[in-house]
Amino acid sequence: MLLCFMTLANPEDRELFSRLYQEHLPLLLSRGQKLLGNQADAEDAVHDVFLRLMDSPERLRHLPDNEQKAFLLVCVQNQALDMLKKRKHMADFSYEEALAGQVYEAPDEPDDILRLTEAIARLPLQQQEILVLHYHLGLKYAEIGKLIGKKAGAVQRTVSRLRQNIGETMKGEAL
Amino acid sequence: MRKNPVDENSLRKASALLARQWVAEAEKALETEGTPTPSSAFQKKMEALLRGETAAKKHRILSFKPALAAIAMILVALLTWFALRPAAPIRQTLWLPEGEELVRWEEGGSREGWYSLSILFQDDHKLNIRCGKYKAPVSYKPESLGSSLNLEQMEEGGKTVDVYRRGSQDDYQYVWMDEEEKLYFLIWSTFDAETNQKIIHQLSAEIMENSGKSVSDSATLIRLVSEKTKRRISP
Repeated sequence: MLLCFMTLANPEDRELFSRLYQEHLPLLLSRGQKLLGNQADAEDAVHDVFLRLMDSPERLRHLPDNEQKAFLLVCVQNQALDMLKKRKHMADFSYEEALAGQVYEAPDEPDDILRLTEAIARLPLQQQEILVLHYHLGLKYAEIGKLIGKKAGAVQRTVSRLRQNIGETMKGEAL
Repeated sequence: MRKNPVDENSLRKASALLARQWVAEAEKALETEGTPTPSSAFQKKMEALLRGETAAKKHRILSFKPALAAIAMILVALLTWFALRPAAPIRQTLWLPEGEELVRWEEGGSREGWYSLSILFQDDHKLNIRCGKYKAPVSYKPESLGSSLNLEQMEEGGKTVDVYRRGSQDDYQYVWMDEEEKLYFLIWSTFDAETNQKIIHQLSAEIMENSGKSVSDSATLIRLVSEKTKRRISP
């Protein structure tokens, strides 16, 4: 317990979270609002994300600024997903619609990376998030599991299965 | 057969691109739809959170879970040890004459009316304890035990009771009447008088201590006597 309070009392962490809040709140609220459909739910999502991240500030501490923003965004998306599941609005919710208009333009990237990105983007949002958290943001399976409420083993199996599926899909498309 | 896994390096690049696209898409939406104005309630809540107030409460709750789990595990371990520990040698808890060994014990009686426990030792020595409802065997009332009774006051376990003693070297009895609980205890043994006195006095004192005012019915008290005695005796 003492360790937790010491972590909370760490002025650098307080400064970090305050800065992230000031810098990214509009973006996070906007994203949450788009997924959840109203501002009150978006505010709840952002609050819960900060609350959860303050349990383990080390996750954010070592990320570069631009990745901190992406990480927060993924967390808010994931929180929104959880809230939607809990409220059983999934039937009325389409990630494709929520993400409509998203254009993957990356002229510097080779074609196979663009095709791979598009293949990942066709997955359900939580599966996309797992891959982003693991491969881009470098989170361990246990850390991802803590974020999305699954065991580390389940996350690892999901990642492995997704790699296989994406690989087979891309091979099929190439043929 | 599994094949065609995507290589990790490509996945890193693709997921980085995806994350950048998410951020770009969110920023674009922010530009087109305008900056949302957070509610004052939300701002207050977040400010409290960033000051560590709400988080501190959360931490307390979270920290309690492992602490409670640890306490529960310790309790379970203690209870398991208590239940499975070898029965304490009777000599450690109940004074016995030198060289005397416990042979076995027997239970008798009925839970409704009375309970008896016979503890058998070497050389055919025996220690008996019997507990019953006050009115049950009239013959155990003090008046009926004859003129050889001597009234003693025992002050043990913070309680004073009248104990009637009678007997000889071969048949030495204590009759302990608990007027409040309407119970009688009859304790006798075949040891010599001095040994009897030590054993019985100690056992009586323990029974008295255990049968304090909180015991409201004879069944409970009898069970107490049974359990307490069983714990001291290896079958």
